[in-house]
Amino acid sequence: MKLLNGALTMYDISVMLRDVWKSYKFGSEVITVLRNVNAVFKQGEIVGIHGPSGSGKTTLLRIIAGLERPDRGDVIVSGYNLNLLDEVGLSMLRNSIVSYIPQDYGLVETLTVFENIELPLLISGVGKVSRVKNVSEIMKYMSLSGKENLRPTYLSGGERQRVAIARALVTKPSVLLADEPTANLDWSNAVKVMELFRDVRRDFNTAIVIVTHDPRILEFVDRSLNMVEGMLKEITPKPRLQ
Amino acid sequence: MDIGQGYLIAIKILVRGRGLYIQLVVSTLLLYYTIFVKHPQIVYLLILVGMLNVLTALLSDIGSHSALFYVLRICGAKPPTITTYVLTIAVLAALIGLVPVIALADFIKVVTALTINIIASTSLLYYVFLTVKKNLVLSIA
Repeated sequence: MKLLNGALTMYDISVMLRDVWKSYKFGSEVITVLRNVNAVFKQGEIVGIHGPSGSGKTTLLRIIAGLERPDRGDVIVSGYNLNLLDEVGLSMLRNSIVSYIPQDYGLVETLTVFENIELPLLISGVGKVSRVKNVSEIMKYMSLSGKENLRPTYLSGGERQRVAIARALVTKPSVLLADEPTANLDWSNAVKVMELFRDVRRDFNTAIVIVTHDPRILEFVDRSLNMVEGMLKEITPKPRLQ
Repeated sequence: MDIGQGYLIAIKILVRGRGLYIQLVVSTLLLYYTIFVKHPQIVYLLILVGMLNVLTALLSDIGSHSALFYVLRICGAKPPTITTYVLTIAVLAALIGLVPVIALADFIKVVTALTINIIASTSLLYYVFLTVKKNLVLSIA
């Protein structure tokens, strides 16, 4: 339900970051990676966060995913304040509400494509019949049908990325975080992956947050943010691409 | 994820890795060795070599274990799931490494060797898990 003046309600907001700070201590040196980060990511939008290496983009994603805790500030994901969740709570969040795709895809080479994708369902205790159904559906959606029994070693870069996305989507998360999803791909495969994210946004109404150092990728997102030295700033509002 | 599923994933990783086969080959050779070498102290050598066999087998599959810990953490596995996985791998590896010892040793020595192997294996796997967890936190980008 939205207010008549178009203001966002809590129902629209998937992720809210309020005054988030994060530093790391290396010996006597303290490196501040995130400085007073404030942002809102809505359901059904793709947000691109652009910035150079070392600017804090990956740290931001990991904080939203609950893999790290901020030093200060609030991170609210689908209504849950992550500061109030313990390790078990954060694990449950990653298993059902937030999916994170790391830059190296995070595939287990010893397991088949099917087994890699079913892992989140296995973790949450879903029964075998449901797992097979859900994984088969998502593999068909990702054009991976027929590759169930292959190991990731035998896949191309684009296919490995699709397996990582499939694993992230199999739990139907509210928030999808992708760390440099096109970094290891040539431009034609990168375009296909970004078009896939747009399909996911349309079909799953998921909030998708992509970090990238490639400015060309920002053509595919709804909204772009710039991260420089730990601070996040909106670049230019972009019209929603169809 | 209940305990049953953690056990099944551990079996898959173990069976598909190199470590299991290294262990079986070494254990078989050690068993064969005991047929020809008769010495009252040999059982202690077998216990030591058995432990090294277990650790070598685990180290040869360390990439698979690291990758799985990484993915389990990202996909939201709870701490008991990690524990189930670690203990399953550790116990199975320890049991296989114990085969030559069982042939020669008495019950006390077998139990001692089993306990040492499980502790060593569990420690190694937990160290790997903690390293993966720490790297997930400390890699600044």
